[in-house]
Amino acid sequence: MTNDSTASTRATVTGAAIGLSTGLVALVTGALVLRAYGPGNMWAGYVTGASLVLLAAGIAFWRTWRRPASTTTAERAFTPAADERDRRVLSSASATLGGFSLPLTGVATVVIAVGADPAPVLGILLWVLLAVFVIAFVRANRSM
Amino acid sequence: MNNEIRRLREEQGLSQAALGAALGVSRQTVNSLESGRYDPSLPLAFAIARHFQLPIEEIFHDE
Repeated sequence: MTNDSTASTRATVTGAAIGLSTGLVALVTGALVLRAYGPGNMWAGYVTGASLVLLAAGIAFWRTWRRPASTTTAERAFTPAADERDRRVLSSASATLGGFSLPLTGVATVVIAVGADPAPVLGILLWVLLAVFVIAFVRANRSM
Repeated sequence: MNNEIRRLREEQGLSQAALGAALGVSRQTVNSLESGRYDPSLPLAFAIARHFQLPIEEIFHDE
């Protein structure tokens, strides 16, 4: 193993450790706050969603570390193993998400202002933004 | 931007994955470069030129 690849592996493992640890802290903190102050069983949904995200991130980190040749752009883009094209795809998708987020948030604000229940509107907004990001990522990945 | 990467790689008998490993990028990135869908950064273009021991302008064409 060369010095470059050793440094790259170390960066991947260190980045994974920091990322997963930060995610775990956010998961526990968010769950505790929502359980104490959140409505109904929102904390359980948060824990489920955040755990799935952490699990996906863990799998992506493990695959980029142990099986780098078979990883996809989506797996590498969120890890230190991303190359310049992966980062450009992620930047493009993030820019598209940013461009859509302002008008979509404006629409949601107007809908709430005219009397809609805020909780479902914000939930729908979150899913729509997630869909925008996924579609933008796939489009960018296919076009470059 | 067109380029000669596929021809040069095949002349060296390298797979896309092997060239990617030599350049520090993924196999998908090499494939995108070869098909002209992705234009490399200047540092990557220089790395490609160094790898094939050719001037950049003999590898990349702007038409």
